[in-house]
Amino acid sequence: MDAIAVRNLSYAYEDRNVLENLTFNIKEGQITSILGPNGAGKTTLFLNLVGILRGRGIIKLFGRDIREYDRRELSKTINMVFQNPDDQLFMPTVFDDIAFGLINLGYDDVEKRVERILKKFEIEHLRDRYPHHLSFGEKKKVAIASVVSMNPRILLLDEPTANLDPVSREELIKIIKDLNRDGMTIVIATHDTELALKSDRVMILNRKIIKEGTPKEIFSDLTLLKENGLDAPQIVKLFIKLGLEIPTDEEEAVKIIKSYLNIGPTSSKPCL
Amino acid sequence: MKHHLIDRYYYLDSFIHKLDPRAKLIGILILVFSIVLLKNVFASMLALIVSLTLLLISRLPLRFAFEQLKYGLIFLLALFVIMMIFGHKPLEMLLRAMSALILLFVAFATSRFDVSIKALDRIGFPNKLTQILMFSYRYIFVFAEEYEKLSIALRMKSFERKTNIFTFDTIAKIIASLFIRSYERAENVYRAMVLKGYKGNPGMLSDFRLTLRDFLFIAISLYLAISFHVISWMQ
Repeated sequence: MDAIAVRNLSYAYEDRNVLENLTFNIKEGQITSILGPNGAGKTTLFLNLVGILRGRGIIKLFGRDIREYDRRELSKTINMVFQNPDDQLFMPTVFDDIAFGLINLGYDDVEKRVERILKKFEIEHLRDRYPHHLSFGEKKKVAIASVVSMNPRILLLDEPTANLDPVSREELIKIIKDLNRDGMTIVIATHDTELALKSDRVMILNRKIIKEGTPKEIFSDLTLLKENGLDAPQIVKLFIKLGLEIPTDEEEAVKIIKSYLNIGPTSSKPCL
Repeated sequence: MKHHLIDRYYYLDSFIHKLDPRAKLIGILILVFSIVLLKNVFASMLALIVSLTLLLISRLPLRFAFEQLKYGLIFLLALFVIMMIFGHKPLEMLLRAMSALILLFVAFATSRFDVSIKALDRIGFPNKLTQILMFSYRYIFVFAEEYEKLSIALRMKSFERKTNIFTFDTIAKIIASLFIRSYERAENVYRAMVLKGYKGNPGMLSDFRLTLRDFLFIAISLYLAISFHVISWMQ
């Protein structure tokens, strides 16, 4: 089933077109990455999908038009984590911030739910901390936890790995994978091609949908990426140069290399 | 970057710290309202003594208290001088204002600020006011960090503050830039709130429990508040 179905979506800020006639589908339970240069319209698309901005065209979530949802229903169906966690953590403490959405959505067992989400994200120690006392990585984690606590069926992440140190980045990728394993449909707007490589589908957006496909299909077209201000991950470029199949993670890369070294033609074997 | 404001010593272990934040605010607000209505120097002097006694009971470091109160006190002293020049009798005003300032400081310095906001909300303070306080406390540090970053960027470009047009022009531009950022941030924060189902009420949970100590504090505050006026009337 399609979690998101968009038909002819256009949006303009005053007289500047940001989104032009977008049409695409996102399947339920998938991780989809939307790649695009700065100003490509990724955040604007997200704000349209969550119903904050209203462009021309049709957006359907699980087969139902977004205009038929009330705000509470919409927040439980689709929600968004902003690029800057300071925009999203507006309550005085981490606990209050996670509780805020739950209280507004009318849950009775707010405290229990908050404790559960703190445990799930391994941030129990941050429970009573002020957001301005957190590191950027911690803020990002809390911002995601505060949205995930509302248990939306679709989660939109705007540049989730931007400005994170390698450890925080890996932690975040693990969280995204775990959420997806639990059945959440995830859409990521990113410049991080390494992250996009790990998703099920990739879309290139540059005001229009330029191309859509599996990570392998998208990243094998280096010219298209360059034309749209993007670049393939180093590992992909290396494998393309070697004339090998593109791996999506380190394990697959090792398998391909091992199999290549064992059965590949010795005469053209590159020096690895 | 770690910032602390008025609640740096919220964790101390004093009688005032142990009070339920709601009882503390009710008791202190009763005293403040009573004190600002006094019209007698002697009673105002007694009020100041009570305020200082509460400050001592709270065990807050006096140096910290002075640091936090100094700008308020400077303002009051300036007002005192101006009123003297214009032939008023400002001693009463000075004593009352100082007492009120110290009392409010004790109230807010002995609990975490977020807890004080929740307590204000629970004792029936206007919702809009508690929301403004809540957001101010959250974002004042974000703006302070942004200002700090801009100041560092200026120093990196060899900018030196002088009393010339260039300095004023540069600082004005920084403030303008902060305003624009604040406006953009406000828009994003509002969007984030709407996405979390916000409809005008700040959803806050609190776990307050009143004990005998709290009722006793409110009763003593009430007794003192009335006593000040009886003394004032007897004088």
